[in-house]
Amino acid sequence: MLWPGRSLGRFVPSRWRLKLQWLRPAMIAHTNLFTPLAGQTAQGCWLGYGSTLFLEFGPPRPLRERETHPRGEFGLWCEHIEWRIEQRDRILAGSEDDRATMESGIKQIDGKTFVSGEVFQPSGDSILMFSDDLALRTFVISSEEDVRWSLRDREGKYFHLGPDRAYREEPAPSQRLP
Amino acid sequence: MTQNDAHVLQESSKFLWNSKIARVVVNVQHRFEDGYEPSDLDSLHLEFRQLLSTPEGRKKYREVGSLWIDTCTCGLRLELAGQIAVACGDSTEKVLARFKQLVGKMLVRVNVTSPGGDTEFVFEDGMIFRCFSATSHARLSWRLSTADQLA
Repeated sequence: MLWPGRSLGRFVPSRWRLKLQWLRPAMIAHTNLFTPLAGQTAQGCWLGYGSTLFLEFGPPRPLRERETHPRGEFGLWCEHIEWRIEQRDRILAGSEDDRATMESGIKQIDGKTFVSGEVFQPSGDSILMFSDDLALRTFVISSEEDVRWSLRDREGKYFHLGPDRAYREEPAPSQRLP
Repeated sequence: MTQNDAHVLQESSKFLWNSKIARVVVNVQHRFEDGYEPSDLDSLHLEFRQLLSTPEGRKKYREVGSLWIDTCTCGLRLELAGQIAVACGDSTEKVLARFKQLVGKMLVRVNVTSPGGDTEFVFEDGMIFRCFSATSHARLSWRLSTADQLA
């Protein structure tokens, strides 16, 4: 898979929204794509094609053209990955459940506050913690892809998190036109 | 799954410990749809055997049992030295090439964790098969069979 910006090297967001900074690999391990989400409330989380998970945070915005689900202030999603939603010792849903069970599990995330997120190296597996002891675990199922999570910020900028780097998606050439 | 369930499962796997993989059966399904032709790993079957201390005629090994992993309900990957060597979502070519190299590897131990039932199959040389349960169903994504059950 080819992502815009990949050829630009190891870019990571330093003040994650506004500025990109060239960082040494040793610093990348300390970069946390999830930090801006701390304290945000999940609303309108939904299941995309297959088992693609879309998490929306903050008040929903009005639907724009070609959108089928309202976006929150922040969006976070992962694809080509296995996931499981747990609450204490219960398993609410997993990415290989039937669609109704997956949707039911994802609905449990709505209304919960994002507490923390961690990506484990070198696998890229992650755990996202929400209020009420709700946990979302992910498991990487590819040695060939390099993007694990993608984040959309308040300003509509996109960031991608791989096993050893995070970088901002560059707008397509057509979008750069005034 | 409780911690006790995980412990019981772990203990029940011990009959396979210190056995070597004699055969690897990789079940890849090709599906043809309109404009979409996925090729997916559906399951993996590992057959184990142990070297007899005293050969019985021409027979040098005894069949011990097998491990079947359902990758339709779990994520599966093979890790070497902490890195992902191959995973169930990789290309069929890579899956076949890497899993072929499992033949002859010895299972050292099995670790099961609750509540998800995630399982590590640890082989010699630090090679690890990692199963991530991706379903809310109580049943496990893998199954062990003794040689008697297979017969």
